[in-house]
Formats: sequence, C-alpha cells, structure tokens
Amino acid sequence: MRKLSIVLVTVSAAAVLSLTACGQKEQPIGQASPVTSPSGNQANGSGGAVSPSPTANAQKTMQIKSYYGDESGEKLVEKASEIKYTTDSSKYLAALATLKSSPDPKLGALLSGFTFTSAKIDEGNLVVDLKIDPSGRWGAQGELLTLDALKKTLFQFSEVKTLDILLEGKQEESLMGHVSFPHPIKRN
Amino acid sequence: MKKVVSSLLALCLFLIIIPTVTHAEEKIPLYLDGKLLVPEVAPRLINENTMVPIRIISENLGAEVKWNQQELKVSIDKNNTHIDLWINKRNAQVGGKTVAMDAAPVLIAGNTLVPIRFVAETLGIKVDWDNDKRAVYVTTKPGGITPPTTPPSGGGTNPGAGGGIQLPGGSQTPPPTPSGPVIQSIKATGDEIVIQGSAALTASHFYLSSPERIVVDLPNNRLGQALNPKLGEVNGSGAIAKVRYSLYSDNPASVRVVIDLNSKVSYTVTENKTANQVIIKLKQTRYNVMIDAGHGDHDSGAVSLTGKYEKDFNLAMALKVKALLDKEPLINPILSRADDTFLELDERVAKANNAGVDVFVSIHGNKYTPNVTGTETYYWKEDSIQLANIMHRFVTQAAGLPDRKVRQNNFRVITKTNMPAVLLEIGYLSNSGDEAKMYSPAFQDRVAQGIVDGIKSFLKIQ
Repeated sequence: MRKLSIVLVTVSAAAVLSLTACGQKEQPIGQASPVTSPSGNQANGSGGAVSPSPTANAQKTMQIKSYYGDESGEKLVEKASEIKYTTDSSKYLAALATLKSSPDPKLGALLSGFTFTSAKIDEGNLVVDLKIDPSGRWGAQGELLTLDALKKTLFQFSEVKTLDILLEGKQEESLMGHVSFPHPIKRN
Repeated sequence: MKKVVSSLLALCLFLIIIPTVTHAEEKIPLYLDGKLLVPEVAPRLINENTMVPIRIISENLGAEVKWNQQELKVSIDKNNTHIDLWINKRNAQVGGKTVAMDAAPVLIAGNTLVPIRFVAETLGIKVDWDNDKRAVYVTTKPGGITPPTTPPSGGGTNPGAGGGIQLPGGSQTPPPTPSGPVIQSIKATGDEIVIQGSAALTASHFYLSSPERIVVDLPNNRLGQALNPKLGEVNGSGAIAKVRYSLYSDNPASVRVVIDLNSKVSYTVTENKTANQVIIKLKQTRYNVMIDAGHGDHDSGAVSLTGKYEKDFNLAMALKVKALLDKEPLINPILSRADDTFLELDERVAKANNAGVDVFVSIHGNKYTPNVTGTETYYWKEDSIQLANIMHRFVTQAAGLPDRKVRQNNFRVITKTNMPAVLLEIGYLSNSGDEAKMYSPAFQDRVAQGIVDGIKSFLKIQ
C-alpha cells in the first residue's frame, strides 16, 4: 500500500510539474528575463503552448502568498512564492502547485497528496477539481488547515468571488471526513 | 429550527440552573405588557443600563437567538430584523450596519446579559424606565388593550403565549397581592415529589437535559406563607438533587418548580384534584450514548505510517467501548456504524439527534508530520466543554501519550449534534511511537476503558 501511494504521489507531482513546465520551458528559447513581458510579440511557437491564441504564450510572473501548516499542525504559516503562468487557469493551478511541497522542511505541505485536475473560473466562480491520495488525508485539525490553505491561496486573487471544490468531479460533503464545506464557498 | 432550539438550549442551560440570590448589583423588576417577569437570573443595572439574560429575549420577546461561541456573538432574529451583538463590544450590527450601544453585552458566570433597551427598541418594542420604582416596562402590544378576563393556563414556558395583558406604562403600580390559591408545601421523599396547593392544581411540565431536570409550572398560584416569598429550594435524595421553586410570573401568578436530578429519569405527573396535590414520580432510566467511529468504507481516514487505515482503528475502538458500555445498566450504547460502512457526516449527526442521544463521542486517529505525537479532544458548543474536559482527562491518562489539550473547533459531528459532543483524536498514526501503540490490543483496551470511565464520570454514574 505504501509503495502504491508513493507511486501515486510521484505521478501526481509529475502531473503538476508538467503543467507548470508549460511556462518554464520557454525560458531558454525566449527572453532571458523571468519578468513578465506583457506584449505578445515575444511569444514563440515552441512546445507547451496551452492556447492557440498568439498572445497566450506570453509568460507572466506573479508574487503570491502560499500557506502551509506550522510545525505542530496547529495553524497556518504564510510564505511568499513566485508563480509563472500563461493563462488564467494555469495561474490558479500554479498557485495551487506551490502548496504541494513546503519551502521549509519544518512546515507541513498540507496539500502534498492532492492532484489538481482543473481550475476554471466563470463569472467569479472558480471551480477546482481535485483528487486526494489516501496518503494525503490528515486528522481533523490537518483537514481544517488544508481547507483554509486552499481558501486563502485562491481567494487572494480578487477576481475569485466564490470557490467550488470538487472531489473527482463531484460536490462532496467533506474533503477528509471531519469538516464539511458549502458548494460554492463564498469569499469572507 | 432544531438547530435554533439546540443552540438556544445550550444558551439557556446556565440561565436555568443558577439561582440568583447572591448578586451584588441592584435587581431590576421587569414588566412585560404589565406582567412582572421573575426570571431565574434577575435583570440588573450595570452602569445605568438594564441588562437582561438573553433568555428573556427569546422566551418573552419571541425572538430567535443564536450563540456563536467562537466569536462570542449573539444573533437575534425577529420578523425581518437581524441583530448581531458581541460580548464586551459596544458596537452592534443591525441588518449589517454598525450601531453603537450604551452598554456592551456581558458574560457573567455563564449568563449572557444584553442591554434590554437597545435590543427591544431595535425589534420595535417599547421600553420605559420608571426611575421612582426603578423598574423597566416593556410593551410588545400596541397601547389601549383591555385586561383579559381569564388568565391563560399555559404557564410561562411558551414564548409569546398570551401573557396577562394590562395597560402598560410607568403610571401603573404592580397589583397588590391577591388572596388567590397558593402552593403550601413542596416535599421530596425518595423518588417522589408532592406539591401541595390550597386549591386543586393543574400542572404543565417539561424535561431538560445536561444537566437533567424537570420543570413544572403551576399557573394561577402564588407561594404560600411557609415557602420563601420569591424563591427557595428543598433538598432531595436518590435521583433528586434538589427542588427549586419561584414565583415565575407575578401577573398572572405562576409558580415554577425545577427538580434538579442526579441522573436521567422517566417520570409521571399526577394531578390529585381532591387532595389539591400534584405528585411527580421518578424512575431512573438509561442514558443514550452514541459512539461514532470516524470514516469507513471508501473513506479510509488517515493512512498510518505502516499503511494501516484509521477507519479500522476507529471501529476497533468503538466496538471495544460498546462492549464495555453494554455492561452498564444505566447506559444504552448506540454505534453510528458497527462495521466497515460509510456514513456522511450529516448522517451521523441525524442518527444522534433522532435517537435522543445524551452524549456523543466520536473516535478518530490523527495524522500530520511524523514528529507530532499526542492526544487531542475537540468540542464546539458551550454545552460540551465539561464533557470535553472530563473525556480528555480520562483518555490522556489511559493512552499515556503527550497531552495536546482540549481544543475548540468546528468539526461537523460536534457542531450539528444537539447534545454534549466531543471528537477524540486518540493519537497520531503518522508518528511511529503513537502508531505502534494504537494498533496494540492492550492499548486499545486501556483507552476504551478510559473512554467509558470518562462517559460515566460525566453522567455521574458510580
């Protein structure tokens, strides 16, 4: 069982890496600067383009806040991180990907067992579809922190008014069997 | 509605159990539509503001009151008016707008007191202060009402049950004591209480839990000479801890008798019209205790360090606790799940609420990073604090793991159940030391016994 979960985590980590890699891959070929180039003319046709639109390839960089569990699993800790993305939906996925591994080994990467399938926004409602590997299920307090980390990370984007978290495409009552949450979750 | 009732109950528990004989503050008579209210916690004057127990707002002004423990917030709803008040904050919110009050709500010995003038007037209810009599007059009905010819029979228990309507206002003095029927004596012997009246008695009654008590109202009666003029108590034995009585309402007169119990009982109330007596007979009955094994079936719960499932630990523990509780004559144990099946959180809540459960204990195994170890006990509602403290003491002692304290957090099964409820996180399946113990039968037996001892201690079962 343990072996299986390790494999699953590896696979899911790889999946997320490949998503964020869409942007990163361009760097050696395109501009050297890691900073956003707002105009579309630097876009190149190299692999990994998500959208057919010529401007969509322009890689943007953003400073965001990411959230992890503290050493004893009692509260959230905020850390600055940088994401690179091209499209809106890759922006949310890139933000979520920062939660999967912690920058500090003392902190808990609350979403280490999560695989994010999609993140789409429509009229302010962000729908995130995800999977949780059984190895990524926490106890009661850990689940509460995980849900808070998800909310805080995604609601920092002002355009996100409501957040609907789907578990393998379904509106479930709870992520890990202790805390229930509404569909959608409203911004506080 | 059930939700409201339960949170209200939680709120009112404190109010009903504490007799108020020892308050230093001035006690303020409070008249509602001309009728003197005699709540068990007296209204009082704090910095020239009359503060009343929140129970008055719900029971007598007919508003819905909710309590949010985390925010220390009281929400009051009546018709289309919504008021939010916070303990020790002078700013209230009315329909989302901030309004300053003259006095902040306070929490005194477990009683939430709110400024009556602000709350009543915001709800469109008139409040007058008579400085000579140092009394407050609350008027819920429009003026010019003729007094009723017959007093109601329902007693003072229903909010808004047509009270004696009289012309309100400062000009009216409380009526002189009439020479109507009185309660002459209240005697508690063994498991029987006899209330002796001067005339035939009619009683209305209801039962309240945690703590267990029976409330009996005797409308149209006052307290006789032999009983303390306003309130008092008599000692009991057996299932009866004590019997308290008070003139609950002055006009129309109504006497309230509260029987504080040592254990859960079933009871009968007999009106003996020829002997002018009400006889209450008690019989000890079993407490319903729900043991909730967390997770199940496709929800494995946490996966332990060596790949074992939390759901199996929880179920093993629940079955052991059930087996021990089966030996207790005063406990009827109920399992939310007895095998590897899945229940939604709200299904667990519904099972407990529908079965009239007295105590709810949810059993879980914890998971976080490998270094974290120890036992945590969670509660959410005010009515569960005592249970949480007791359970935590017994469980940490039995488990012998580090004490990670009693904590308050809103996990579904302890927020939505309407009885004292706790969630136990026995130990960390992600910690090698905790995990090894948690899957050992000796540890499980010891902790199961700790859980049972905690439940019995809470229920005061020897």
